[in-house]
Amino acid sequence: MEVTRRDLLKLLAVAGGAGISPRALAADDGGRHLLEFQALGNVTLLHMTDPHASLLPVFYREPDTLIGIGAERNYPPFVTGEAALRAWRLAPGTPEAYAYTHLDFAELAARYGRLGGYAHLATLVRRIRDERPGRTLLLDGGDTLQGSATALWSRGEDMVRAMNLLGVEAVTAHWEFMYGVERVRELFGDAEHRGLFTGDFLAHNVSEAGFGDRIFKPYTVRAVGGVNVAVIGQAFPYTVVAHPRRLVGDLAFGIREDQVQALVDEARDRGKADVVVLLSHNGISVDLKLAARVTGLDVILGGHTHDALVEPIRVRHTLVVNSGSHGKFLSRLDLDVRSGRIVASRYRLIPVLARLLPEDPAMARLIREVRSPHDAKLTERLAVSESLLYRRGNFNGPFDEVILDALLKRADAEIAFSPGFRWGLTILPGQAITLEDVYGHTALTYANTWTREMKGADVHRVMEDVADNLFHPDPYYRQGGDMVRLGGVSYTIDPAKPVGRRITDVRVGGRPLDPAHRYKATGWASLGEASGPPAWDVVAAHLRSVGHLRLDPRPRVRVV
Amino acid sequence: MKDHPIDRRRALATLGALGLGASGLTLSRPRRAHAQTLGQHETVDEALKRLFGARPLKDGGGIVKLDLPLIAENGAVVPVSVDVTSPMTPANYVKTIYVVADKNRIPVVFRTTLGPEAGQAAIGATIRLGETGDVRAIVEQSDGTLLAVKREVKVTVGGCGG
Repeated sequence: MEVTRRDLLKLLAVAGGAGISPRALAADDGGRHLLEFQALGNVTLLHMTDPHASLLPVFYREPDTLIGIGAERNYPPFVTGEAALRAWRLAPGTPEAYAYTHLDFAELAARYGRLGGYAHLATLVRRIRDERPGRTLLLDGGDTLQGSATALWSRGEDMVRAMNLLGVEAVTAHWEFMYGVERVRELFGDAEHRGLFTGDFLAHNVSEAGFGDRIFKPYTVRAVGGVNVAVIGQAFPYTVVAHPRRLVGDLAFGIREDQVQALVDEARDRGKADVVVLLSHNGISVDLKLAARVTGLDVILGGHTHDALVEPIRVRHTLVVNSGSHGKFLSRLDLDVRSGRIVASRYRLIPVLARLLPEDPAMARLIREVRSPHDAKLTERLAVSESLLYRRGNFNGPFDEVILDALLKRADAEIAFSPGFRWGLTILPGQAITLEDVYGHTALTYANTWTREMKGADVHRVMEDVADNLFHPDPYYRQGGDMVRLGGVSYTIDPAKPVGRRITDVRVGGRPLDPAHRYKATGWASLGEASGPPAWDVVAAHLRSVGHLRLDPRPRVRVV
Repeated sequence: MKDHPIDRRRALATLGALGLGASGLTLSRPRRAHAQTLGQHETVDEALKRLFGARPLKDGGGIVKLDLPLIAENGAVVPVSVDVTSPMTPANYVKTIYVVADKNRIPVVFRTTLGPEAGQAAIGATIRLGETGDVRAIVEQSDGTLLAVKREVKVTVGGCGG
């Protein structure tokens, strides 16, 4: 990162203004206390999810806007900022506030540094394994192979090698399927064959669309600390709907609640499991609903919606954990299991504070090996940003605005669309944006751009459809992701309204959307065919031409 | 929303190109280049009135199990199954199972006639859904009782972000 001394002084001055007392700074241990953990019982579950190919440590700002519907509203995980601090009993200006919320992000990032990175994560994992020999199980919730240039160029292979070196014992999937099912089989194997991955790839809910034959191993039972732990893998239920059919068209997914119940029962009866864990890529609201409807699940280790859940949520007898994203966190859940029952548990969502965790030499070597052939390309400086850039949040973030500006400019269009992805790293003020950063926001196997005319009524319909995927009152109808990002457009949204009535006062270039008018529209990440240049080229060209970036807030979405 | 075939086709073509989803959906759409002459074009209310008149439809929850995806992966081939708890004896059996898709232009997708010799009242099929809406299973028992259950199935433009 490029933060000059002057920037740093400025940031510290802002930190002072943000109510962070100099005394708190003096007493600050930099977050060391978060890496200490008083062990409990005989089983330690280690869970990471949605790393999105973040081999190196990251800045990733948690969302400031995360709206819950109905009874969810204002309860974890649908709390952000000050409300999150209150809900989790945390103080501002601390390493916890930095890792778990968006508050004072730039200032605290300068103080506590980057999080995650596989070399630092490997050190943390090794320490816990050394402390708890024979009692640990390391699980990865998937979205591991997508999100970087090197993962895209190696079609996921660099990440599988990193997973093997880290010693991931089981994984499930979602974005892995963007490389096509054949590539997933090569890398991870299937129910009959092993792939490159040395652990178990678990996905009970993936079958052939025709006859419904199961493709992957549904669950595994591992002896951990003298007890049997069953892990059932639940891949992202709506993978087929969310990606181009040419990649996943022959597959069927789904939540398959009855099948989860049957496998829980089977694992207990035939697998002699003492503890049953669902390694899930459902998204947190689906996890919470499923936990209330399936009996005998002890733990759900969830991902997909990137929620950094500071403490587990208990639903009847099930502990629901969600472990954030981008390698920021390693969840540690210690269980005391006696006579086939959990009698006590202890948990922490451990921020992987890279400054406090030296690199694991073997992992650092692998990462260098993966990157060195591409180093010059990856580190090309495209522009310097004066503004904090991020994507995560229910509505347009500043990095989305950069992408939308680039799309609008290239196509000379009135309206631009960019998907509400929850992945994509944060750029601090003063930091140079590299080509690698651009890939971090665009690295898809279907990143081509498109341009066409579109009727106003269709623009509105798309907005309503995506809003319903985000805000449907029944979590089982949600696909995850955030609201589609729109350039050139402003609108009002009432998330609590039914589909077709959430979006009002849509304006294009300041004028009311005309349902009958045909607008020139552009976008990328089409699920159909698109023939424009890939988004990374379009965004990189825009940044090169701008050189110095400053983005003032754009109030384009009004939430009621 | 009132259905205008031409507008809808154009809208779907747009969505497909837009790609926030819809390639499967575009493929799945029944071709409307020529007006379909076969089949009963009607609203769901007209269909229910035509089939059952004023007879009451009781809540079949707990007896009729309707299973189908919540979000259709491909609107052209949506698997549906209906499983009815019934003794299936000559004195008490399930006579007919209807599957009705509220938003389809021809809402009555199919009806299946059963008898006690079937042994169980369970059917499975693959149906086609035009757009997001409720799908109902309506069961007529041998004593004439009508039981109904329904579930919303979403046919979305897709695309996601997690």
